[in-house]
Parts: sequence; structure tokens; C-alpha cells
Amino acid sequence: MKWHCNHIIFSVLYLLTISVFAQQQSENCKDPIEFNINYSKKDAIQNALDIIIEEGVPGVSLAVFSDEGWFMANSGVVNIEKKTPMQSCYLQYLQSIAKTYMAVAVLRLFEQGKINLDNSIAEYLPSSISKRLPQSDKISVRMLLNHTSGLAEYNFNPNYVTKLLQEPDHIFKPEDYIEYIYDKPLDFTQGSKYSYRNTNYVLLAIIVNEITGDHKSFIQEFIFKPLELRHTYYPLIMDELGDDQLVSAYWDRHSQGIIENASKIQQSNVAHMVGDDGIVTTPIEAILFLKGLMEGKLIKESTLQEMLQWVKRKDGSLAYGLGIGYSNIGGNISYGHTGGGIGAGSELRYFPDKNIYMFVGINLGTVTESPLHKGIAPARDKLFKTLLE
Amino acid sequence: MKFKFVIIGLLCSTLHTGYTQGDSGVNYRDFPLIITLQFHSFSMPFKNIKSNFSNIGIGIGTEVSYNRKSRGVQQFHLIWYRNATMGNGLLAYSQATWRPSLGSNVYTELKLGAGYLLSKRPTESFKQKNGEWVSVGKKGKGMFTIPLGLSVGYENELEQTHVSPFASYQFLVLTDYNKSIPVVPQTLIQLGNRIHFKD
Repeated sequence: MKWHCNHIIFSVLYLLTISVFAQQQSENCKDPIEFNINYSKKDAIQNALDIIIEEGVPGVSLAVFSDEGWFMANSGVVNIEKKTPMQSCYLQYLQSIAKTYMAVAVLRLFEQGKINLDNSIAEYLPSSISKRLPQSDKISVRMLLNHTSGLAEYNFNPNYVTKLLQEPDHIFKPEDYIEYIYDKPLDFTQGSKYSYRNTNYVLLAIIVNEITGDHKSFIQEFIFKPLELRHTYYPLIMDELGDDQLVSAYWDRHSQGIIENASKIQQSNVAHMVGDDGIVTTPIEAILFLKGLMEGKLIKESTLQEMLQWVKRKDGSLAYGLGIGYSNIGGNISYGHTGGGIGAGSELRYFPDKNIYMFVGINLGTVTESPLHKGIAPARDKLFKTLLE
Repeated sequence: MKFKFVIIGLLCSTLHTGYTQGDSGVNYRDFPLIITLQFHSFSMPFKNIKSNFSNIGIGIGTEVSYNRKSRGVQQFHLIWYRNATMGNGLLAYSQATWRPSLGSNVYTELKLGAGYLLSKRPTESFKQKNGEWVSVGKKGKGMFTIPLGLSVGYENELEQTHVSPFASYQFLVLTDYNKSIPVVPQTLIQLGNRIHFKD
């Protein structure tokens, strides 16, 4: 009988603890913006997100801003092991979307008269770097911004890839990335064509470091602060952030449809990248950034128009502006950027004709091929179709 | 502690070789016991060598000569290594080995062969089944590999037991790692001893 009473007391205490914990979690994870619960496409979008999960993504988080106001939806889990449901408050990896932030920083310096977009990068880079880059006196800042520099890609270098994977705790300094391409010939004549290179944006970070002292502080001061982005982090410092705010990251290492928790390598990789990657944020704050940019809160209208001057691909289609991509999704023009990493993928887009902003983040790696991607790609297309129709 | 014990064992077996006979080309005894310490890394050759020493393994092997002389042999090895970042591995391989003498009982080796690596994942992994994520542990993947090796060793033949300590550097080319990176490099630093027991 005594055992029975103790058992009941313990059970009640356990349930109370669980309920308090769950309440704390839910309070911590309260949506920071009131969203439109009557959003017209909410069921169809939720269904589209659920299909993405069925196709093998652990978790997906979506935020939309349109004429109907804000809408947020999630499906799947933040962490498979703990079965924590995905929610809008979790930080997502922006990956290459960070390039748009970097470009805005450069364009702010352009507006301040501290940088000329058509000057050579040799004028701004430390000579120790510029002398090891071919044609650095002929490559302009603009060519870095719109990926027409012809510089080699640092992350195609097997020494970099193996170092990153074998030694995830290794601290890469900005110059370390560039060392991988020292003295390598240009892939094509500077300015002659568009070819996306992460190297370009690492160099931009180094240039902004040279001008401002620290490009990260500059981005915080001139982008995060005016837009009041309180949940956007650059750099990612895990000791300050803690594990429970950021989505876990999963990777299909061997392209077998089996995923492993690659959070450690993902965090370390993102924590050290500069200019081309390195920002984590919530889906809402990702949209607030793009919205702020398009609404002229970060740069002048004339500078924005400069940013939206598109270079073309070989086939003549519009490709990229200054840190921002051009896409046509199902007949709908979009400005924005995509991002892919070892354990995450994301898209941030503005559809000007429909006045729709959207961010979608998944916690599955997109940089190496997986059989899971086969089903995920049409599921993603269905999401866009639902959103835009 | 165990690691230190193995190293001391390897050194002792080398130092206990009281005198040498010098001519490594005659009276070769097939099927010696080859014991090795392994230091593994996911690296390009001669890069990130420091990282090799974070990932320790052990190996056992033997060899058989082509012509009863030690200059040309076929080696067989079974190796297990621990690599917390890239996943542990079990590697079986065989290499044709050319062993020219450098004089004063010192020899070098050039090795080329083929093998199979069962590489585990570093962390718990999951597969989706009926909408649920099911753990498959650290389920690994088998991959073919071409190991290319370079060694230097010391041939020291006792009256009864010949002992030959050596150090090797192996570069392994692994195929089918994943669909985006079909070929990946790995390296092994090997410290070992070849023990030819009395016939």
C-alpha cells in the first residue's frame, strides 16, 4: 500500500514536471508575430509541407507574408532523436542566403562613398591576398557581387573538403578559405560570364573587414539593428546560443536514404564561414530582412535598382544581381536567394507581381545528392504552386 | 594505457633482436605475423597528418612470397580503426609489395592492391518507415578501395625468429562514397612489426 502511494505521488510529480516543462517550451516558442489564422491557403500549404515530410525531410518551417498578412506553418521535427516538433521560433540555417546580407553591407559602404563597385579588388584587399589572386587588378567589386569574377571555387578543393569533414572543430579564418585558391588561374576571363562562386563573397567579407574593421559588426549595426532583428545571429556562437534554439541538421552521407545527425559539423562549418554563409535566423526575421531591403529600409531605391541589374546565364536567361538571384517559378518572377549546406537547405524569395514574401527552411542537407531529394523536389514544387496559384 | 602497452610491445620486439644476419633475400619464411598500429584520416595524401594521430586502430596481417625471397610478396591485412568524426572502419586489403633493400638491413616497400572497407557512420542514423524515423544505429556502407603504400623498415633476423619493424604511409582511394563525391581519399600511417616465426 505504501509503495502504491509513493508510486502515485511520484507519478503526479512526474506529470506536473512534464506539464510545466511543456508549458515553458511552448512559452519560449511563442510565435513572435501575430499571424492570420484565417489565411486562405493554410490547409493546402500545411498539406504541402506534410508531403515534404513524408518524402524524407525531418522538419520544415515556412513563413509567408502577403496581402493577407503573416502566415506560418511547420511540419515534422526539429530533432529526430527527441521528437521535438518543428516550430516557427527555431533558428534556421540561411546558408548562402547570407550572401544577400553581405551584398547589402557592401552597398551600404558604396552609399557612404567608401567603396566604388567598379574599382579593382586589389585596391581594397590586403596586398598579401591580392598578389596571390590572378587578375586582381582587373576584377572589380561588382564582379565579386554578381559572380562574374572567374575566380576559382574554394570549396571545390579536396583539401578543404577533407579538412572540414575530418576536423570540424578546425577554426578557419577568412584568409584560410582564400588560400585554397591562391595562384590558381581564373576559370574564365573576368567579367565574361556568370558562374556562382562562394569565393567571391569571402573576398567581399575581407574587403569590408579592411574598410570597417569587422564586417560582422557592420552587418549587425546596419542591417540587424535598424530592422530590429533580435533573433538573427552572425556569427553563430554555439556557446552563447545553446543547442535548443537551433534546428538539428541531418545528412545522408552515403546517398542511401539513411540520415545521420550532422549538427556538430553543420554548426562548426556555419560558425566559421564568412560572407558566403554563416547566418542563422527565424523564418520571420528572414522575411523581415528581405522585406526591409525591398521597402528601402536598408539601402536607397537607386542602389536597390543597381542591385537588381541581372547578369545572364549562357542561355540568355536572367541569373543574378548584386547578391540576389532572379528566378522564374511557374511563370512567377522571384527575387531572392537559396541556401544549401551539409545539414540544411533554405529559400528566401519575394514575388513582386504577387507581393508575396516567403521563407522555407529544411533540416536536411542539400549539397550532396540523396535519393530522398527525388521525392522532395516535386513536393517543394507543389508547395510553391500552392502558394502562388 | 592499452595503446602505450602495444607501442612498448612493438618496441621491445624490435630491440630484442640481438644480432642481424643482414641478407633479407634468402631463407625467406612465408606467412609471418604482421601486427600494426594504425592512424587513420580522411585526408589527401600528406595533408592533415596531425589528424591521423587522433584516429587510432590496429591491424593484423601476413604475407607470402612470390619466389621464396622477401623482395616480392603479396600481403594480406585486416584493420580496424576508430574515427569519431568520419565513422569507424573495418578494412580488408591485399597488396602486391616490392621490397628493395637499401643496404645495412634497411629496406623500403612500394605497395599497390585492392580492398574493401566497411565504414560505419559516426553518429546514430535513421531511416523513414511508415512515416516514422527508425534508428538504424551507425549502419555503415561497404566500399571498394585501392590502397597505395610506401614503407621503410629494418630487417633483423634472429636465429629463431626474424623480426622486422616498419613504418608505412598508405593512401586509399575509396569508390562510391556518395553520389556527389564518388571518389574520396583516406590515409593510414602504419607502425608495425613483421614477425617470422621459426619454421
